[in-house]
Amino acid sequence: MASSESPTFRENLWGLPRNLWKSVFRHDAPTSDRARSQAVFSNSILHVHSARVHPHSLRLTTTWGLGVSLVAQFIILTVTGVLLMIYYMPSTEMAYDSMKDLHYVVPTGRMIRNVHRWASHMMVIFVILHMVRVFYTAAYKRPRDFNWLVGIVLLVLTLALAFTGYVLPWDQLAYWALTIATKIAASPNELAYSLGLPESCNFGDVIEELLLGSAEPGQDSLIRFYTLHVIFLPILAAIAIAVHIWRIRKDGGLARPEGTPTPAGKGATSMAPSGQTPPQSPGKTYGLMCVVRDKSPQTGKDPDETVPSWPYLLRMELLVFMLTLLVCVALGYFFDAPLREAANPAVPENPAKAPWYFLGLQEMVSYSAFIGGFLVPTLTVLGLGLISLLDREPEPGGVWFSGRKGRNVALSSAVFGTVTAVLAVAVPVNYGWLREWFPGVPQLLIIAFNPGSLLTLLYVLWSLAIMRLTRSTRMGAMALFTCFVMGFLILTYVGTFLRGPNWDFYWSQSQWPTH
Amino acid sequence: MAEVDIKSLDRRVQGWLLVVSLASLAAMVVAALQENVYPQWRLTRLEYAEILREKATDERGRTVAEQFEICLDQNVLPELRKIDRCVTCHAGIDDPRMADQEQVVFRAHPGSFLSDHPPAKYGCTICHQGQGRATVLPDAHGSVPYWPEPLLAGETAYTSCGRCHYENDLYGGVADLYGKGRRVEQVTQGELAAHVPGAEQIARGKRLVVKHGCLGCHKYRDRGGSLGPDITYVGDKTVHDFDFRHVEGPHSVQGWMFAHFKSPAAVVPDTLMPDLELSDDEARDLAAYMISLKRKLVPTAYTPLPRPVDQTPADGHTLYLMYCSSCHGADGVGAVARMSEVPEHPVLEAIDRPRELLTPSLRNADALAVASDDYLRWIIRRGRPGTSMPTWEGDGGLAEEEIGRLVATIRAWQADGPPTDAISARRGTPRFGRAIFQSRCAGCHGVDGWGDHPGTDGWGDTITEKWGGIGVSLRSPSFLAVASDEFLRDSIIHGRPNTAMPSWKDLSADEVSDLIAYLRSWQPQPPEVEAVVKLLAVGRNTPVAGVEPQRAPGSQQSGGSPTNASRRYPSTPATRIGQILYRGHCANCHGPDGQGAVGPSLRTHEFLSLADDRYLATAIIRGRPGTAMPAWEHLSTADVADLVGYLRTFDGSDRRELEPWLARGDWDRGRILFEGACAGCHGRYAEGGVGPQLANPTFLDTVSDAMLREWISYGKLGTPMLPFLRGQQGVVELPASQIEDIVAFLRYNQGRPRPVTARPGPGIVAQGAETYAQVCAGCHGSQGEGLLGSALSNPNFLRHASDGFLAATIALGRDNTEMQPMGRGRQGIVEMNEEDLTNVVAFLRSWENDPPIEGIPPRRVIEADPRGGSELYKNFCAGCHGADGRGEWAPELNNREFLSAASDGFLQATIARGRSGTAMRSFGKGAGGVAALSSRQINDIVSHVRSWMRP
Repeated sequence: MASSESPTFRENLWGLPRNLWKSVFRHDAPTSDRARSQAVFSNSILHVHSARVHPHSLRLTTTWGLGVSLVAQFIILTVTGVLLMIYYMPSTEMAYDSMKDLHYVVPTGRMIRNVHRWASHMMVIFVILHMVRVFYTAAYKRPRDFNWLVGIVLLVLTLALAFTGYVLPWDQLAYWALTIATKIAASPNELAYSLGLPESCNFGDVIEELLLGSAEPGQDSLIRFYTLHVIFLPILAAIAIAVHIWRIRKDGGLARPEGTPTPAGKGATSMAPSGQTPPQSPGKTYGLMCVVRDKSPQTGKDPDETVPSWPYLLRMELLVFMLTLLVCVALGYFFDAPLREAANPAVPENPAKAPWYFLGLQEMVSYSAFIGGFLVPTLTVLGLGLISLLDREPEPGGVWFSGRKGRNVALSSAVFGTVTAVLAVAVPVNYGWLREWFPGVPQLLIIAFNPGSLLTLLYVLWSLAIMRLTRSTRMGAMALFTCFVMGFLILTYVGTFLRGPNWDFYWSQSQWPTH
Repeated sequence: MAEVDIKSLDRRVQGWLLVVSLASLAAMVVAALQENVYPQWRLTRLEYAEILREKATDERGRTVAEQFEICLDQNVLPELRKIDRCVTCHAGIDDPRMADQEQVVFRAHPGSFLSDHPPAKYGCTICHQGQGRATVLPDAHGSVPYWPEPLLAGETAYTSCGRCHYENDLYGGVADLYGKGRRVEQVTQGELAAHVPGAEQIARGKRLVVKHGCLGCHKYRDRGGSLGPDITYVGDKTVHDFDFRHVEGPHSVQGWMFAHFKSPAAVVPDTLMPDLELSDDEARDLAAYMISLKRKLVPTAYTPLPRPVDQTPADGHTLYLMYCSSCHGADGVGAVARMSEVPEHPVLEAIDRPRELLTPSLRNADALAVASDDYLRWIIRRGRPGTSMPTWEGDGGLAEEEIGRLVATIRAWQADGPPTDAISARRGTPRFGRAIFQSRCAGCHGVDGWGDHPGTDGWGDTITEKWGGIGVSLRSPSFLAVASDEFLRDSIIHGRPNTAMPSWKDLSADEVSDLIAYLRSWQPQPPEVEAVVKLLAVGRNTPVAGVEPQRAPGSQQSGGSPTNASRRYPSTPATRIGQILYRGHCANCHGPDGQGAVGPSLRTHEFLSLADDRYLATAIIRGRPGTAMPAWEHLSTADVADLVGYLRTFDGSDRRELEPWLARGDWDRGRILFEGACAGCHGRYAEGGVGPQLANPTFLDTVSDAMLREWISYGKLGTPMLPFLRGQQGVVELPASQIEDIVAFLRYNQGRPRPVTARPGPGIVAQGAETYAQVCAGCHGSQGEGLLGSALSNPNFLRHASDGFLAATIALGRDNTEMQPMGRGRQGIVEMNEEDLTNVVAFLRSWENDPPIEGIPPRRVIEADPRGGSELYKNFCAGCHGADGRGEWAPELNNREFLSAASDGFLQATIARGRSGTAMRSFGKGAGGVAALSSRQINDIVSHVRSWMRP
């Protein structure tokens, strides 16, 4: 039905590029703050941001850009990962050779693999740093308590992704790390053995079989880890990340100290519909901020203290992204991702070490597989998750260590955690442990009282003491968290650098007896 | 909270964003360029393309140069599961024009290897290792961390041959030569060097493994000791499998091996490995060979089949070098000297033994004299638990046959013994023999040769037990009469395995002669034949006065079976004495009336009429060596004369004097005739059978040709000997000339040693076995293994004992032993008739070639007093061997395998004689050792040691 107003086919043909552009980007390049906010608001990708953002959130010291960097890493990992999938063959016969070909023949394959490897390491580090930042700025408190839980899930997913990826090259490192990790996972067996429980109670075997798909690491395990690494875990992580980011907005943006106004106005705590109804609510709240002209219950309350997300926030995010990319590319350029000899079940690596982020655990497993490999990590994850639910003292977030008192608690806990962790390693190294002291001791006692379990107990007692002393759950939690972080650092360091063949103690690798 | 100056912050962010974005971009561009546009190999290939253009002189060269692409080149080897990209840079590897190219990377491969091993099928890394998939330099040559196979350039590449070829196999030949279109052939080291320069290094290393006896401690393909690690696939070890803390040189597998072979203890401080004192070259050769011992992990299409033959080393000497020489020394004298140079050698400390006892010398006359082959075989097979001697049969992987070769090799070290033809009693001097007897024999056989018998042993100790000594009586007249010089000689030289009688091979011919002469000196002087003849000449004509009246009663008393002869001829006192002597000494074999049984008939007219006195007297005095006819040397002249006189009474007819006649026949024709007509009874070599032995030196000495012709022609009435002369109605009729030939053949045999033959005796083996089981098995064991009596199924014994010796010993018994006379009329416990006797002898003889048991089980028969032995052991032995025999300074005796292997005789002899060259002194009497134990005491100790065998 032709009409004079409607464009002709020729006009449409000519206007195709412009129309296509306009269909994607509905606005012209925004020139005013309002237009930019409109753009953010109407763009499905950008609209995860609020249209306006408080300058405090833009300060480097507030977040150190950790969360955005993690998103950047996830994106880098996804892109490089998909590229690697093109060449990688998940078969024990070919996996190692495909790594070699990637390295030597595939155009820029070496670089892609290196960037992937370094981004994954960075992601593990940044997840932990991010968690530390959130914890010390008390950003896990209500209403962000659920997002903290999502964050813990993401922590676990990140470790799982990193580890499953670690296995795929199927070199000696991968094979024996897998062996060690499955032994750790099978550690409940140790308890079952020493309690004299029947075979059917060896839950460790079930876990091991679930992980490996067979009795020994092999093709079944590789395909399992491959599937986990490229499909299952990334999808889970992507969903969790989406929820995580979405919750930030819904929980009122980044936590800020008292006195800094929210985009919604001074005193507003959350825009979430949960529980409290904003005062003078007309029954329907349009959290649409200044974009909406209509009179809203929230409008007019200090909106001027905020700045538009576009360009300030977006530019900073872009900067973090590019910075992350630069670091990954630079590391990848100068340092090749490790690749050892092809997996050989007949020649065990000695020491056979898990990837570095599990070495703290492996150190504890060296005392007792059950305590170090099962009980302590379970308790840690549980404890981390419960912090946000147990510490419900009302307190504005965004302040590092919640003030001077917290700083002192953190400092003293750091000292305590470090000293006890060092002792927990040094005493057994120098003087032996129960078995050397009392050769007749039953196995159950040795399992129960080992440096790892004792260290955990000390940390718990310490935090209870702090909690009692300061009458503050937050302080107790801070003490415990600090201790655990220090313990994790020390044990990881020991496991990574000071343990040699047969998990014996050496000051440096040059003292190792073998080549 | 400080306000944020959002504008200035944004400006800074913008600036940083620009910088960081540009930097990221730059980094990625650089990385992309470096990896894709300017990789090293691309430049190398450009350079090669230039060289190709320069060398393109003909059309083909120009085509090659034009077609050369600047891209990755590779050999894809799906069967080997390899991709070798070496040819990307080494592009000229198969271009003969590049043979002398200046740049190594473009140089053609030397030799003709590539025509036998085309790179398209084999690639490069199968021989040269390195990392085939890599395209950058240090990685491609594999000299990077975490690549287990660094490049093997030059000669070292030969260590890879073992991946496919079998000639690296230790058990194969020196080397096999392969080549396209040629048969696989074995080559010598020199030929190998000529064909494949550099490959002989491996062959040299292989020889070193054999020469130094590496398999004494190390296993190769399940054969070898287990003190050291298995070396079958030692070449598969990577640098990670070695400890380099004590290695000064390069930290490579080669470097470790070299340093280790030069000085094992310096590289592995607590090693048991001795310093082989290798030169640098040898150490390098050995290292190269070791590295070449690799698993064959290639498809069978790549592996030439091993030569089917010669998988086991041929000779015992090589076996000895391979498996024994590292401990016992290449020459068998023990490898102690080498270890003693390291004062704190861990082997010495570990085993806690003095050095000289650590690995016993095998080349020890004393040890070899008492150790039987069975003992050696047992110890090799089963080892000696608790010492470094492993079991070679199961764990060590040696086959039964190989152990046999080893035993033979060790046995060959024993002195051959003196030449037997130079030994005879006549040459010996009894006085010297006595001295030898005192020092070597008296400990067991008693100082006066009476052995152990009730009474005194000659050393002053009283012996009350009937049984309980070590050596048997040598002095009994009947033994000396029966035992020929040859029997004594062989027994001395070869000993009697499984008993305490060692083989005295270290004695010289003179000494053995002396010894036999001394033994013979115990025999009374034999009567002179001439004197007997003279006496007979007198006695026949003049009967002794005064004895005449007793003739008749004497003849009546003279026997239950009066003969015509005794009735017809009144007895003289001389014939009466002769009759008594005959019944005592001769009737056993020749029958009470001389009609013959085991021995031939004496009463035939043909015999007596022809045999003159000299013939009969010689036969009595000197016997028939090798038959049951003893030499009756202890009879007096008169006795012999009386015996001959008595024999004459069997036949009253006149003696016939034959015309002196000399056979001039053709002995060779005679031999054929003899085989046809006579061998059926007399044996093929006239050694005797149903008929008597003819090839008997004493017989032939005394018999005249005329007598032989007479007997052959007309037979011997009363015996199975038939007449053979034509017209005499014999089964075979021969003309006189042929009989002459036969006589010539018999004469020819005179002076020639009787050939040892395996022949069934005239007796029936099955019946002999029955009799044996009833009569003999009680003492000698059901299979002749020996219980209280000596072992009879002892091939060594049977080889030296003639049938006659056996028959005579059975019939006459052995004085001063439990061996009773079994013959008829000897008042023995059993009376055997001549048939039984021959049957039993035949049965015993059957063991010589067909031993009833494989290897004689060690005899453990001594019944002595272990409690008394325990005291003695404490006093004399415990100081070195330990109170419980677990060994202190000296070897462990309380050791199951040792006690199983060692016979009582071995123990007796070792205690009595000691072992020269070791700390073991002699303890027997007369041997001049630290103590002078009696046989009885030695037996007590043996039974004490033996008591450890019981659980």
